[in-house]
Amino acid sequence: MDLTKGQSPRRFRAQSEEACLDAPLRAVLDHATRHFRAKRGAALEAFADCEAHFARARSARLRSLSRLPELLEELEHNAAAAGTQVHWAADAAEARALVAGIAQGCGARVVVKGKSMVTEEIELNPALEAAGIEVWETDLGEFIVQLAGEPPSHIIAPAIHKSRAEVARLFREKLGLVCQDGGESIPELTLLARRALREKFLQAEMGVTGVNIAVAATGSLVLVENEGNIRMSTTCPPVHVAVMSLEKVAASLEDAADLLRVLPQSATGQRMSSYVSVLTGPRRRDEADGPREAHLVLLDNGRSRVLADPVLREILLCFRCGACLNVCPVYQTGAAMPTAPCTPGPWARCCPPCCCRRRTPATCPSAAPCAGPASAPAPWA
Amino acid sequence: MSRQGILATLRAGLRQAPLDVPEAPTRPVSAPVGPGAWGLLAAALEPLDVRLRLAASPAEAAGHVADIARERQAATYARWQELPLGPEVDAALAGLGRVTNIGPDCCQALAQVDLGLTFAQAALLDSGSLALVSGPGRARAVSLLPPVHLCLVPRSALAPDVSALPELLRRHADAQGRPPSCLNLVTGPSSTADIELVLVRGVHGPRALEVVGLDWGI
Repeated sequence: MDLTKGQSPRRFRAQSEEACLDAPLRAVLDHATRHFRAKRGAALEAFADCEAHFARARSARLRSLSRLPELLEELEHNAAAAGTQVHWAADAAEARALVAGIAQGCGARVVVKGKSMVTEEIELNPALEAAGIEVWETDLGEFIVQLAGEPPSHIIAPAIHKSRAEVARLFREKLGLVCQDGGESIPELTLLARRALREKFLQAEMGVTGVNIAVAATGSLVLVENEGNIRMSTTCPPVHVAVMSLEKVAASLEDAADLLRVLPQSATGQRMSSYVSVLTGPRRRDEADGPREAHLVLLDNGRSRVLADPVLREILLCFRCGACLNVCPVYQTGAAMPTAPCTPGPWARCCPPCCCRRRTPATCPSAAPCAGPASAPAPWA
Repeated sequence: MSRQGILATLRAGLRQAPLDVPEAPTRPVSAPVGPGAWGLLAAALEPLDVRLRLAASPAEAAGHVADIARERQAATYARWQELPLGPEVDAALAGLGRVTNIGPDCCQALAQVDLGLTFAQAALLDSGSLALVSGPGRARAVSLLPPVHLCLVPRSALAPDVSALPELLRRHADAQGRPPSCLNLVTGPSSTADIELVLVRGVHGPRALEVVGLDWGI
């Protein structure tokens, strides 16, 4: 299926039908969702006191929402005390302008990015490119879909719909890179991406990432990943900009630790992701690396309105593990692909009308990937 | 401007519909670190393709370091200036070139190095995660840019699980009470499964992680 076609709601029906009839796509989605379900299932089976840990994580999220304005002020205060410059963005346009302004202020010509759905939501890349800046997605899956000019197809595995042959062709056509043996081995393809992006990490004047958890009590940002690209983006370039969905604040380091206990297990079935970084401000005196300048952009984009609704506010508990996608019958048919929202799950079901207007299946909201109570193994169910 | 508007909307929302937080169950008690701790760490590291080598003395630890450098065919190394057994490590790696210019903007230099040596301020038995606290003399990139990362784990660093993280960050806080600028939990080598869900070790970070346990009163 060609995901690059226009995203207009009017074409939604035709595109969905086309996607549903795309047998290879359905096979890929079936394989992927089974894979993630099995990983998660095995992890939770071996996870002692699993229910208590999930309950604590849910409680940490609830505590955050119940005091959201105060915690954001506390986060702002403590992040500033650590030397981070804090910005507030009411909507996507403001966030884009802020990040582009920071990029221009530091004379950035090359920007490296970690995987971040919130920067997808605000459509950051086109804004930076319009300012003449070269933007590189550095998560392998995001890098592949960027080269293909397509949106990510799974929150955990963005290029899940691409075969190794397609990746090899993309690398050859877009980058002029071929595997040493001329073949399509996956480790070789990964090595090509490593080499190509290593150069960009060392060249970039600015790194942009999302935020998994921000700790109000210390002003720290917690970033979770497997590839090391987020560590690279926050270690090598002189400027780091973190764009944060504002509800992701946690009150304390203890709450953050409780969330870290369950997030990787629910997302990929890992006890812990390969890398968890806890960053508090820019590099300090006598430190050799890390950014000299750190920025945090707190993005609202409709979220603050959701908090007033006693039913809808549940979606603000979501910590984006993606587990709901893997039990979603609609997602597995591929029907939602042409209109795949930047952030799936509860967000896709409820939030796009409030937040991201792009890729919203306005004619058929229930076609968005869903996690109904009957099907959800999601942590909060 | 946006700040005031956002905070006002959030406050109005919570006034309109207050949110009660039911009491959470108490955090399950972590298993204490006991005599079997090294075995637990080895078991957590094994599925990550990481081998734990235990040393009962500085000489044995230096031997392991030399073995690793040889097995990995390293020609150059860089290490945290602040490292347990620093001189012993240097002696063990005397045949290699040591890259010492870890000054500001050291990434270019470290990208050329074969082996990076650090030590863990905590090692989590539950997940095999190694906590690296960066700071002066402990550059972040030493454990990130070289293709092989060798981490020394003193016995005193063993901790049950990620619930140890808050205390660790507080212990390393600066005079103003701020946590260190960067703490990395490293759990195995860098990895991806983004192409066809096939696991590949070694993406942007190291392709191999080596761990030497320092099993004496250290």
